[in-house]
Amino acid sequence: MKNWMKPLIGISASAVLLAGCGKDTTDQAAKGTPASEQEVAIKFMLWNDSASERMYDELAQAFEAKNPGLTVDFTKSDANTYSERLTVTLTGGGEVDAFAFKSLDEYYKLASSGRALALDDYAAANSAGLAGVESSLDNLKINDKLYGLPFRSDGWALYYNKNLFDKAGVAYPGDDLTWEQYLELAKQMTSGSGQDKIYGSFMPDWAQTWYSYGQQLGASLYSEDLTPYIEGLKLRKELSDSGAQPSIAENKATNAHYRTAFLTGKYAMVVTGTWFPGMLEQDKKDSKLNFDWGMTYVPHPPEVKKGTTMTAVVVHAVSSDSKHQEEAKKWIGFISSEEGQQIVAKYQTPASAADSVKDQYKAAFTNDAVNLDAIFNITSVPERELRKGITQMNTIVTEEGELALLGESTPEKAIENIKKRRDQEIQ
Amino acid sequence: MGQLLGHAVPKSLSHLFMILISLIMIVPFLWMLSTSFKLQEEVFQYPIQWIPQVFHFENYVEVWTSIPFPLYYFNSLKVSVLVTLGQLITCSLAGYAFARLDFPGKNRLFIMYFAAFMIPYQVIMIPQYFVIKKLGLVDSHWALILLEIFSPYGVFLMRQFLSGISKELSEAARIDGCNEFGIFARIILPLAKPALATLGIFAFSWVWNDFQAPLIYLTSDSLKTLPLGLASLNGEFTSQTQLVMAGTVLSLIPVVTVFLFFQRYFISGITAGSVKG
Amino acid sequence: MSSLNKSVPAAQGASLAKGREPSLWQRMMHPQARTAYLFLLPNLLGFLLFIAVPSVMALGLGFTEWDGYNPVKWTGLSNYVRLMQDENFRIALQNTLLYTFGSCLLVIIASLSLALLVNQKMKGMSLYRAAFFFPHIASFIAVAVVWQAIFNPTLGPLNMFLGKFMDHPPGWLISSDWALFSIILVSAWKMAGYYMLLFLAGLQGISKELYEAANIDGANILQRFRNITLPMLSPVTFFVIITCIINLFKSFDLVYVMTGGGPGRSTKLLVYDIFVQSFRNSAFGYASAEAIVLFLIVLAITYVQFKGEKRWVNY
Repeated sequence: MKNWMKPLIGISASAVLLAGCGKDTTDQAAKGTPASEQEVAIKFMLWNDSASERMYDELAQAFEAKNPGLTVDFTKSDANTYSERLTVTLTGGGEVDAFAFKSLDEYYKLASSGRALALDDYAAANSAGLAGVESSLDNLKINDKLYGLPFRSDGWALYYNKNLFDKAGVAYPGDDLTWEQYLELAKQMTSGSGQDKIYGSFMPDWAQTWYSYGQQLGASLYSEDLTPYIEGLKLRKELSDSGAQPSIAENKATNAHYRTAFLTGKYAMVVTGTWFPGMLEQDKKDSKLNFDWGMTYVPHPPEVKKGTTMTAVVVHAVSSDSKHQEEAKKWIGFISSEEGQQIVAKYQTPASAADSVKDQYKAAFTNDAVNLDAIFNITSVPERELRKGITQMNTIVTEEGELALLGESTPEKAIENIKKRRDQEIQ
Repeated sequence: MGQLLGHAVPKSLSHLFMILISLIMIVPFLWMLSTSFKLQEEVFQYPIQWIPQVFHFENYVEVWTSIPFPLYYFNSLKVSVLVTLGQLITCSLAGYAFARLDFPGKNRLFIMYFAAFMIPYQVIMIPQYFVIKKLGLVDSHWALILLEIFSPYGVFLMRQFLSGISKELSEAARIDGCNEFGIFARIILPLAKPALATLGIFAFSWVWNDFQAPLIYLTSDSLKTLPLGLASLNGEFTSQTQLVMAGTVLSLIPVVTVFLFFQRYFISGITAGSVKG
Repeated sequence: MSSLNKSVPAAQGASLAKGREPSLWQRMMHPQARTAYLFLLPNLLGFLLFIAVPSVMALGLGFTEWDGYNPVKWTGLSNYVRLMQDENFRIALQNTLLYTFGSCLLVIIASLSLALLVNQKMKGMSLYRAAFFFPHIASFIAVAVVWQAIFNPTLGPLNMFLGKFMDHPPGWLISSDWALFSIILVSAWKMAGYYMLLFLAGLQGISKELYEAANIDGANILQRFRNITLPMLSPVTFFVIITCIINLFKSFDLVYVMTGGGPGRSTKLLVYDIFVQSFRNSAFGYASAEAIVLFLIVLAITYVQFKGEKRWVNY
């Protein structure tokens, strides 16, 4: 047995030695060395879902063809735990040049602490190429500095199952529904029980589905007066309490997801993001979709005009510790340029509203159901406000909203608690 | 209970009882198994249908072909076996020193081990990443192996068990001219088989199911372990529970095998291996 | 830590130079000590590098403010002042204590009973043991989905069954009043098999002669259990209680995959809150401070247990 002990002791000993001589933290400080003529591999970190994997492959191909000597090296990570992975990698000094932010929470948190590079100069120097996404750049500034380039932009929309409406003899949802009208329509479309149950509505369990009401009215979760949010929470609660939409409890117990739910053909309407048409297109190709669907503007409070919707962009950024900053900027800049956006448009909702991009987007669909107005011709309000406490706010609205929806608290009480906790926890 | 109960209970009755409890313990596994053969729309039908109307074996085919199962099996097996061996060796050696040898600083060292055992993993994740990165081991199986081998829990467990073995055995061997390592390897370890089996099973099943460490350290597809593969199934087949369950069933087979292998060390009628503190 | 208090026996000192206290170096170079260090070495080196050093680094952060990137800012005790007023922390601590002691009690009763059951010679015993141990080897993700289906408040098998006896069976995972209890049940179910193995290893060390002697004296089952099994098993029981409590205090996975701390904050455990503070909010210093408090609580509980060890543990 002594024989196998030796290598182990050897390993442990050399490990300690390695650690002892590894105090050269300065090597990371050599940032942004100028691009040499050699091959440079840009390490790019992203989360994988099937749609974006193909998109990135095509983007990399086009980019590499245009920039000889540059290659893109992907580090893919599981979608559900991407945030943690990204945080550990960036905090522990892992080697990554550029990356995608899965949410604006992450963007604010990591960029505001300096882990992403400011891109103002790059954006100014390449304003022509970035014209299509320029309108969203201002909203991405943190303390007047830009840290990310948008490549996707999603708002919210209403999707419906035409067959169910035809069968019920009810007119399709119009493009100017208020939330209250949506509730009534959902109730009207609900019928049956057991295996034959048809639900009028499916919304994800996310807090956005109720705080949208306040955002659409132009309110802020950080302001003194949170009353605009009460009505939204009330309507959302009424929706599941009335049985027109499965409750959070049921959704949790059945692991429910809007996509699989809609495909069962037992839900008349779904409210979710504008990435949904892309999913449905894929499902159609896989012949999992066996009914006609339509889409229109997301419902809104009566005070604002139709087409007012929350939007959120998805951004790429360059790591402050990158050794190939210029190349990394070039890569993410390419994705946000008109050429890159045309590729993005084949798979996802692009951030650019340029006509060529919109055409490309439309062309990716094999049916007419996709409604370009509901995607591009909209009045945007922010889904998340980029400011200190953005992650805490997310936790607070989720926890308190959930209690109200489960009937353990009232909407009024929930909003009151949100305000109280916000003032305590966000400093 | 054999000795405790004597022959108070007839065998058939105890079998019935055992089967009943077994059922309670494996109900979720039965659900998993039955779900793995269902169609998606059948998965959450209530009341639960325990035996699917039609067995859809194609779920297994789909899962097997959508991720490289053999590769993930191999990677998981490699890491789990190395960690298990490493723990059995280093923890029993250290446990032996703590339990049966005297040396200056013993108390302090042991308290240090114990204190480390109390710190939750989530807290030391980032500092550990620093260390692994300094050693240049990010994206290698060594990261997973080295982080798991030197388990304070394993040392504590071995110390407890080994200190229960009678000291006279060692004394007798010493008089016969055995050196300390000989005593450890030839006399004490064979008596500690149940403890080694317990630690072995624990280490193996822990590493086999570990999701966090591979998630953080592995980036190359060729290095990924099964839990990462299952997670990607989860991502790919959003709420297609039946496929995820089929993958889970496939992933459980090796752990059950390992358990059945180790567990025979519990029946060999060892009498000296009692635990003492 | 009673058995440790006799580290260097007197005899050893006497065998060294006469009349003089041996120096530390001399004691460390004593043959037995040298052997001991050699035995410790492989584990100790790895332990220091991969566990002890990171732990010290992490705990040190508890006195600082750190966002994970910018220079660490020394803040002394201000994290702890903030913790005292933090409602999330108070709720998490309360939940953690309830969860730990509830689960621990259930786990010990269940695992000891199971161990007694499987410590007999019977056909198919290895299969029964495997069945009882099964929950321990199943992955958390799989377990979470299954239990969510079982706990389904309206249609799940559990409430279908309970519905026959009561009008309003509990809402389990989706009720603030029951969620923590549900998590306790699942964790006991998951851990019992493992601790059963520990008890089993202990039970197999009890000599048969003791039971035979008791049989001759005419002791009944209960008497044998109380007077032989329990005392002879007390070292294992001690080990099980200590490790079980520590492991439960460190619980994270079950809550992470099953409830995410909800509904509301009803299943928010300390380690989950630590995770949220560090990974979601990037408040690494604050999270470390929470970890230190958790550490001190566990330390205190463990210390009390070691102090009380002599009173009920037989060696």
